[in-house]
Amino acid sequence: MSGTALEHRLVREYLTQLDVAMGSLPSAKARELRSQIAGHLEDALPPDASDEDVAAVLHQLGGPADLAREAQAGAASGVGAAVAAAARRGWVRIIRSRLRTKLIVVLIALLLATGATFLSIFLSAQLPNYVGEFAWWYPQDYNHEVDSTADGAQQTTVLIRSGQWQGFGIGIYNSSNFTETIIGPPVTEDGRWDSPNGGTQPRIEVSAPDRAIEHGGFTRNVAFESLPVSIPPHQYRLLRITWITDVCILGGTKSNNMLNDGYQSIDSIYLRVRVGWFTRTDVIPLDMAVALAGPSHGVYNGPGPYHGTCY
Amino acid sequence: MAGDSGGLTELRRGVLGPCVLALLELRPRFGLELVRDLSAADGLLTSDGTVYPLLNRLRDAGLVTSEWRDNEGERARRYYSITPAGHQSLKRFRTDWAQFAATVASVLDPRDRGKP
Repeated sequence: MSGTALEHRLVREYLTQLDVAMGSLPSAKARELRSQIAGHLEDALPPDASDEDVAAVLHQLGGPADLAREAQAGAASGVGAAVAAAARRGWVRIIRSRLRTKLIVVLIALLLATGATFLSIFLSAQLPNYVGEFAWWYPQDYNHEVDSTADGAQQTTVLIRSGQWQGFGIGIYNSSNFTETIIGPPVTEDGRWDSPNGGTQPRIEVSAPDRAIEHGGFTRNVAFESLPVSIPPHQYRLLRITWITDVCILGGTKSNNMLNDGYQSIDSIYLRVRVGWFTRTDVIPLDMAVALAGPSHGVYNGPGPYHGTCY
Repeated sequence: MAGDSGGLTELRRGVLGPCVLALLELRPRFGLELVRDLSAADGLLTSDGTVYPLLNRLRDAGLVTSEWRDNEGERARRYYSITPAGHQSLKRFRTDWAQFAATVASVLDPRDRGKP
């Protein structure tokens, strides 16, 4: 009989064997494990435990050499680590897959955001605007134009020259930070264009870069390009609109192409302009009305039921 | 344990750590208490002594901490508690284990493949 189970002969022998087996362990670790095993035996065995009981507990505890080996084993040993590693590999695949999915989603979101940004930028960009330079293009017109004011509104008027080229030029300016391309007049259901000419689509051209125009001036000594024409950011151009006049006043009445009795006018120009990926309609207000008025001259053979010598 | 394959022993050893953490998650325990609770799960513990080196490794890894407690009328005992890192580790293992066990089961019993 002894005070604690630690004094039991079998226990002492066991602990001695354990000390020997743990000879290669760091002394602190060896002391700690010995203390733990001793505590275990104290708790597991009553002071008066029989040899059989002690032997059974020691057997269940495992051999000293096995314990020492276990203590020496690395923390990474065991299936738990392998399970975790295998699972992590599985997770890595899942995470990679999810990351790939997320990456795609992020890319799509970025593309959409970029698209939305460009959409916003392109749709809000200032389109070419009128800069106050206007002139009838042909001498027969600009030498005989009549400027008038009615109710505070200005109007420039030339005579109708049926069957002949007429037209005008205006200065326009691309104030945006983007190259803007003038494509043409807006396409309407009936194909008409809101020009003084009344219906036939005019010829629209844009001047080549020119120093005089670039300084806000107006010149007829300049080359023109047919549409579509691109205007770089912050540059001036002349926009020339000419047509073969097909309106005519016949015998005191009007042709089909005359929208008003004796004259036709416009105060805005409509153009289709492409900015970036988007095509928009540019409404260019003029600072006056531009009109063709009777009496008309020449012979009318244009559209409509009325033909003959203009009145 | 008679009839034990080396693989099963390795498997037991591998899962013992998370099982210790799971028990400590419920409440702190001293060594013999842990051993008895683990032994109650049939086949999990082949020798009682292996629990202590394992506890030391868990402590070194910061997953478990220990303190001496003097309970009235009893000898002082070292109690082991799970740390926050131990909680996290256990949580990860539970997820890993569920996936791993399902994978192993599907390989071991092909008839179960494809079952929801």
